[in-house]
Amino acid sequence: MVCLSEAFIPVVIIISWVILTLVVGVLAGIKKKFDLAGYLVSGRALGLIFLYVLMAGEIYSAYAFLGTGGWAYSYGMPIMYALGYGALAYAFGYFYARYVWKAGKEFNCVTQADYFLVRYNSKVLAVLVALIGIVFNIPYLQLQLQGLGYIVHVGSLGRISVNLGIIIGLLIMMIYVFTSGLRGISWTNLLQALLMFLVAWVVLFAIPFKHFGGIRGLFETLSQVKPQHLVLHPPMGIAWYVSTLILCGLGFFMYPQMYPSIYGAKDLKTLKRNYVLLPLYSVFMVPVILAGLSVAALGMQLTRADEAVLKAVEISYPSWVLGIVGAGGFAAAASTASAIILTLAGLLSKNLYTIVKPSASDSELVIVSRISVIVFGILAMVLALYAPGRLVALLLLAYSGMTQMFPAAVFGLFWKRMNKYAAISGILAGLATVTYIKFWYGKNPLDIHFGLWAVS
Amino acid sequence: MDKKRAFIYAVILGIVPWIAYVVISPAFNKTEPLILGMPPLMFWDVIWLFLTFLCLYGAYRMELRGGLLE
Repeated sequence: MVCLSEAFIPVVIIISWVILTLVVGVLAGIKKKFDLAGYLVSGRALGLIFLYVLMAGEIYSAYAFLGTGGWAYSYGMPIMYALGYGALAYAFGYFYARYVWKAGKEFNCVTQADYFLVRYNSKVLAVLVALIGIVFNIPYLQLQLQGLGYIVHVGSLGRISVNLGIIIGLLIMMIYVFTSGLRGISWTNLLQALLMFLVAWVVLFAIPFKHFGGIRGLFETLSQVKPQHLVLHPPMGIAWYVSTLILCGLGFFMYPQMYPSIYGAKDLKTLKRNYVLLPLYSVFMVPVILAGLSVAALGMQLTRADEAVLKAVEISYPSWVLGIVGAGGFAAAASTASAIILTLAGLLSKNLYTIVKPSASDSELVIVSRISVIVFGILAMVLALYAPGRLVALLLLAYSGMTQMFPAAVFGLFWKRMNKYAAISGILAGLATVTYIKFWYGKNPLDIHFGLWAVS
Repeated sequence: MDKKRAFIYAVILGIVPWIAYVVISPAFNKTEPLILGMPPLMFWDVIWLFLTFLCLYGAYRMELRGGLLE
């Protein structure tokens, strides 16, 4: 009898999960004949549960695990901005999404650029928004894939290499996004939500209880070991915290992948109920933060902060539990990355391809979208495999860059005199400022998040 | 309730979480006392996830009664 290696169970868990995702994603749409709205925004027919898991899955990525836990481990309380800006974004989105959804319904919008086209009646602006969306989101997509590869690598106890994880993960995503569009993503995100719930509340929440007897014990220990972790502290002090809350809370809706899910809602009541419920989904980050803080309180030194949550699991459980976390990381990354791929494909086909060929029919655009899914998938894979790390600076720029569209989007709602020229020049000026501050100025003026300077 | 009034009440409820996080939460930036085992800032930011849910639910009820969601 051959003795099973320690890695056997975790690898089986991860592979089973990947196969389950593929089967569910493909079955969700394989027999459907999609028109463009059916493919990109699920025919504007999503009910509350699918809409909720779709949005939550898009928002909470692999970095909700790795980054949040890593920040909690490295800095402590500054990570609270992540809880706060989510709540603020949903409170804002509760009102903002109405206009987006209505424009979508009336003018058959399927992308973010479509919304700007309707509001400002400017093709130039729509193309600009589409280009910004694509350029700034490719590094974001790449980072998701690297996070996926890394988490699967650790989860499989090193048996699945980072690159193999990236390739498998991306192939799976490309297949189900290709066949099923947004409908496939909403179905696979239902699976993700269930697994994230299990990982957060069963696996991670128990960690401070195992080591410190409870949450109070954790923070009492932490106040001895790293007292700074209990408060905001420079360089992430109160000015940084408040400006980041505002920037991220408002900038949230400038990500193009938020738009297809808004259009996907079947009616206004469903859309609004969804925003009412989203703050509760953020609560799952609390166990992630506690796990990161536990590693800090134990006084462990990590070579890279992103390991914190995985390390917390490793020291608290038998090794096979890492397989569940690996599968959870795959699910978190895949749900975000697949939505980005589809969104970029939508921007390329609906907003850029139609400039080249205005007469393109609806079914032709579906084909172009599907080809674009493959193109963006392969592009992101090549970048993730051959240029890891180099684009991280671009990613930091991404959020600020996207946020430059905010004045155009929001003032356009409430201020009737706002016109396309003001919107275009505002976006360009904002981008120039962000680039300048990031690459030449080199630090954040007054510790206020640099993107906020550029908006103003 | 007329539409305009319902909308204004809903917007006010939507602004409340912004005030709680952006204006008030920095005042909780201290190490003591631990509330439910958590540092004050963490307690405030976590509890407001639930309170944000309640505010938005209130806004939803307002808009529903004002007939704004048809």
